[in-house]
Amino acid sequence: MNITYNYMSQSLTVKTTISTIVQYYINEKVNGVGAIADGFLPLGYGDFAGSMFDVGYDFDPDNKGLYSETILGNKSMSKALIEGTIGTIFSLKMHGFEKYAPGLEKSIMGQAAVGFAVQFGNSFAQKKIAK
Amino acid sequence: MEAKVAGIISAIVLIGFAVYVYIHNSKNNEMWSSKNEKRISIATISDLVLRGKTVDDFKHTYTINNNVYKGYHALLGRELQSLSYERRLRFIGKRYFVVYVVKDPSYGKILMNKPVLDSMLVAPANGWAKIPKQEKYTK
Repeated sequence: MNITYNYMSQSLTVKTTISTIVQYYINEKVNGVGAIADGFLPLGYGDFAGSMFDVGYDFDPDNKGLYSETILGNKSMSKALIEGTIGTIFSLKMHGFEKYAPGLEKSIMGQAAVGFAVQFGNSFAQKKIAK
Repeated sequence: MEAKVAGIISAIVLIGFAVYVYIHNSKNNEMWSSKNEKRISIATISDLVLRGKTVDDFKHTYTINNNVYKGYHALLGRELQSLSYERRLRFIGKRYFVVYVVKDPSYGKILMNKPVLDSMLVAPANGWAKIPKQEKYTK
């Protein structure tokens, strides 16, 4: 079997890693489904998948470690849709910056920079709108 | 070449992170195991922490032997999640019993189903062995 670790998969791994690190830094918990979805699903789908299936790990000793908050369980569909919509709008706006810096997302470092900005900005926007 | 290096570094970071989660989880389970003594104290909810892309938390603090510890209680469950922002804010300042590990009191769990009804009740420096009987006190 010929497995090629090509540019596409490299870029997906970078996006998942960025999402994981930023979530850990900001929230002290990582939505694993969200991180994987950020890397492997197209723009928009990842935000909705992550908000509908918030399954991950919480680092605070108060909590049980692994947690699950999904639309199949306790999470309300309206909250998931709001989170997914905010995430998608923010991601689209950030990716629009490529217009001003052509080729930015063709390089891995450019993707990393955009990825960090999207994750930080998205979290910030979600917090503001939650109020 | 740049992409390959970044991809490999990312893969290593992800694997390393997974190992870190495993070690963290093992330590957490070990601390909360029945062999470690636990005691009870009082925690006060000090803040509502809004998280992006994941569940929000109540920040709480408690004092054991003159050391202040903080913790974050995730607002899991439909009951807490469905509350509006204003109603969640009303929890700030409320007191609940907290169970902590004597060996390392930074390991504490706030008991959201055990509110402190007696506003005059003060926890001893090293807490109680079990939740004390309360007399409801109204200011």
